Amino acid sequence: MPTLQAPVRDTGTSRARTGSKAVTPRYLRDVNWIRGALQTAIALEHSTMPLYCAAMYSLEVQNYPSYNTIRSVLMEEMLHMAAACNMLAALGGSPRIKDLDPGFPSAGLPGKVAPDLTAVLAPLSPRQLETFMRIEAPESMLPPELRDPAYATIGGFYQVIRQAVLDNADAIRKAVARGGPANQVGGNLGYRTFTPKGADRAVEDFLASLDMISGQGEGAAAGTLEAGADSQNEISHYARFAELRYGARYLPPVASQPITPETESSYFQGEPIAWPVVINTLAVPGDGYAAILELDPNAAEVSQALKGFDSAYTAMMTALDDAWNGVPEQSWPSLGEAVIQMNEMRVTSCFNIMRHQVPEDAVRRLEQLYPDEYELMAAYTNLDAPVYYGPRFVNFAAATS
Amino acid sequence: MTNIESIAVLAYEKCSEQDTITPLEIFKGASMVVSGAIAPWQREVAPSKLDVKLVSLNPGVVTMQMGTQVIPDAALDDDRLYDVFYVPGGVGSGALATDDRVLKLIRRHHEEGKVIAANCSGVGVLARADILGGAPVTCVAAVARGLRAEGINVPVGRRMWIGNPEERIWTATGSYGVNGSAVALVAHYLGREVGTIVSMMFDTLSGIGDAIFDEQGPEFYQHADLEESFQDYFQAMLLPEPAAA
Repeated sequence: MPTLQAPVRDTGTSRARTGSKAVTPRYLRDVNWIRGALQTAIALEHSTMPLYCAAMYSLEVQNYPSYNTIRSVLMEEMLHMAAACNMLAALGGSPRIKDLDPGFPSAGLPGKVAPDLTAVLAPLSPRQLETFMRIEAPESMLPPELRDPAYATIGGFYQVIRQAVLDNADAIRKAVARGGPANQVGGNLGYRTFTPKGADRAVEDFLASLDMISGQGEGAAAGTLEAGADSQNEISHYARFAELRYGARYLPPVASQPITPETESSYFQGEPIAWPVVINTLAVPGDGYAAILELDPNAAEVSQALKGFDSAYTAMMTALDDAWNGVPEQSWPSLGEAVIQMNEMRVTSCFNIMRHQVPEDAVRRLEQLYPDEYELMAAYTNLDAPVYYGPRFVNFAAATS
Repeated sequence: MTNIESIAVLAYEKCSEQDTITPLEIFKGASMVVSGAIAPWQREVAPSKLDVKLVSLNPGVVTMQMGTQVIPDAALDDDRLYDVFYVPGGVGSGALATDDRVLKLIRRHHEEGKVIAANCSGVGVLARADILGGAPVTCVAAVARGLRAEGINVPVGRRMWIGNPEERIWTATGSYGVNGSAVALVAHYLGREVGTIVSMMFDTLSGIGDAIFDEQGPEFYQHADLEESFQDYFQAMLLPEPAAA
């Protein structure tokens, strides 16, 4: 007869802490936890894209270096999201995509990553680029006061998943061997995502993919802004946004010196990058412009344009969900449908929504209409110039689920 | 991996209060944990939905074996399947075991890859649904002898619970083992973190320790003479002879 008396557990010392905030204790991070954390990673990767898209769409000409730079980051964010989905699918999970809803403006990112950040849909601006740099920042580039939260950086979040993969190596291999209902998507896109090469190599594949995501975002290691040999030493997302912020290409100083917030500018002394012409869209308030539309005599037409964009966004999310969770034979067509909707979003935003000017009277009354958000809107939009509507990224599927 | 997004606990006339409400409360607690409504620490796992319902055979009030009346969350819809279908025990389980609709629904859930769970004399209903096969199960002492006589594998030295993930069948003893077995089911399907939080909410971890992470619960005491007396007394009520073919 086994005893029913439990051993004493020292919860004081076993309670995991990252920074000063208690998080899930390490000994509780099993494969189920990894699946759930990967779903958070999917939401995290997705949450960056509306922000980057809103800035990219605001560029009047689409072959600016700045447009291509943002687009290059966006492409890799899509691949990171795909990699997280594929990792989750490999572990037997089913990625939830269609109901993702970051909800801007947001305090921090999903998973309580970068909680100091206020993320708002806004046009390209030096201020928004600083937000983007904050999103992609390696911890070493953060001021000390921002390093305290459990997950000050996206890389910090992935680091904990990486550790859990190592801690659960056998269970990872077993789970991959069992598989699950969701599809692997994108392995034949010609870009690196995550393609499991079998249960025996599963742990190595997971680690490589997690390292790729962190490396491309923040740099392969502390002290570098380059993504590492596996990514052909391309510069990180952080560095790409820094190029636009400094207005010059990445060019490390000849005399080697550690990169720090203080020395950062010396790494961006390369070829100048001209600031593009930007459509001055109004940073999107939490009500999706509802209060402004009440004052706009052109509200019906504007609303139609905004809803048209949101419908395309919703359709894209649903198509992506289908690509992973639908029948395998329809996975590729579903991905194709998502790409069609992505194009529809760009066209609707650039050639429809942003052609509509916000009434000057409404701009003058913004502080009255949005007393809690006015400061944010004024920080991300030039309210002394004509102001235009921008895309809201409302996911109707999330709103109804 | 079995994705668990919905759980139905079946309420029926003269089901046991403890056998029914205890797992229901534990599963609803688990639902609050996975949704993020209860989080004793900052969780990295994305919030998700777990729909937990007390379901009855028909709309309306259900009177339990000690007279407690409950209003279920929903009536059974034969076209709606749940990821876990849970059949509690109670003195009404004997009658339930003759209900073709229930037996068909249990079989259909199992055939569709869902998890079937039962405790106490509810295990007899699973036996009548003919889904237990030869894998070991556990149950309340009062029906153990009868089930063994019908060829069901109830090992002597009953376990508090026996989880069989391969066959997607979870069985538990009578009321004493229901808390531990329900938490163990949560821990198995929703993970160690959720299992730990739920077990701390209901003091299970403090009571039986890390056994909640095992597929088989602690072994029960045996009282052969007492068990036989209770089998003689309760068997006809809890596990009536199967109807002649």
